[in-house]
Amino acid sequence: MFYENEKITFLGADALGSVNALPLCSPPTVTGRGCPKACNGKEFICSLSLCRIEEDHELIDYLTEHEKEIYLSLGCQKRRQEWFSARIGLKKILLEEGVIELPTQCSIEKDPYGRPYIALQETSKTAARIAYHDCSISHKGGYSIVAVAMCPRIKIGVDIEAISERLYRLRGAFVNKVDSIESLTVDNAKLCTVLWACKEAASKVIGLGISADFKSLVVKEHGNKNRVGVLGHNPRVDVSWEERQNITGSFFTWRGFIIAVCYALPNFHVGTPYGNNEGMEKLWGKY
Amino acid sequence: MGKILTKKEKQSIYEEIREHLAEELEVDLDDISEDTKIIDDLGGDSLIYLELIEEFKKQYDIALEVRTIGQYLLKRTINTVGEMADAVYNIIEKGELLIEEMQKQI
Repeated sequence: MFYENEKITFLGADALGSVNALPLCSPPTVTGRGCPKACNGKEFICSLSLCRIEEDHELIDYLTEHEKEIYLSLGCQKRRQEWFSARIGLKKILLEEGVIELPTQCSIEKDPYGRPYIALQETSKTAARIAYHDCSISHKGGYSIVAVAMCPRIKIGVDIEAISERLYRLRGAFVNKVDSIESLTVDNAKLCTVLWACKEAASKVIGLGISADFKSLVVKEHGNKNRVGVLGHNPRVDVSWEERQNITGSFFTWRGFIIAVCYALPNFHVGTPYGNNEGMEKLWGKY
Repeated sequence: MGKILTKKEKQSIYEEIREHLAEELEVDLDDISEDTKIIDDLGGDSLIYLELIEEFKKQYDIALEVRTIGQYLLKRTINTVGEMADAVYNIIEKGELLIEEMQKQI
């Protein structure tokens, strides 16, 4: 789904594609119960939506009463727009995938560590179907991108970043000398933005945010051979963390923005500065 | 050990944070006070935090890694401009002692 007018830009899963067919999962290791899409062979990892919606649109009825209260309490117009767009984007994905019947059956909440999760209203008949499905959100320039895992317990992270000299100036804080995006060696601003977006998305998978040591995260591009299905032909990247290479992802360019999506398998350790993430395990259930 | 900041230096750091936020986030300086929320009220992002950290690391010759500072900021839950300024004062004043403090808390 794609539509755009003065008030709304919306790119749904059909327009953005979905993340699937990753070599990381071959042979398939994900056999989750209640998975809305087949997890055998070609895993359907996550669905994406990109949204930018002006305020006071009729879509406000997509929000629960509690969400409306939060929405109205946000002071910054840009922040309100991004916050609103993220909720609409998420709900549209879940409606399109048939996992909820009404937009008010779910909301995005945050765990004690600030990681978002999908909370279901008690009235939802489909609660079991997305009970442990991870989600990730990122905002930039009024746009919100949302990724929703379509396999239970897959962990995902998404980031949208504007291509600018800003990240080139900060490269000393996050670029590792062995980071490698071979297709982007000339445009330094774009290269730095890709590296930042991939690391930011990977840090969301890990559950550490900016407290992950971005310099120790290593991004390697694998070219189109082992591509991930985001927009069909985008480079696959692997992000290694503490000498483990089990975060995979992809990135693409859209209207001056870099969008990166990363994911890891269910047995991937999610950490916080407090050690093992017991809170997360409670939310997602034991593996 | 870092350095003890005077009241005047603290005020200068606070003003620098405000000016940086106003410029980068295109917000009127008068709309930024101690209680202003960096993300919810100003539309800030994680890059803003990184930029501020890098700026003060250079100015005060702080040898701490971004990861250590990031973990410190995460534990303190920095929402407002005032909280950010307090965190920066602490980072400058404690310097490498911050690592020991972090380890004790784990």
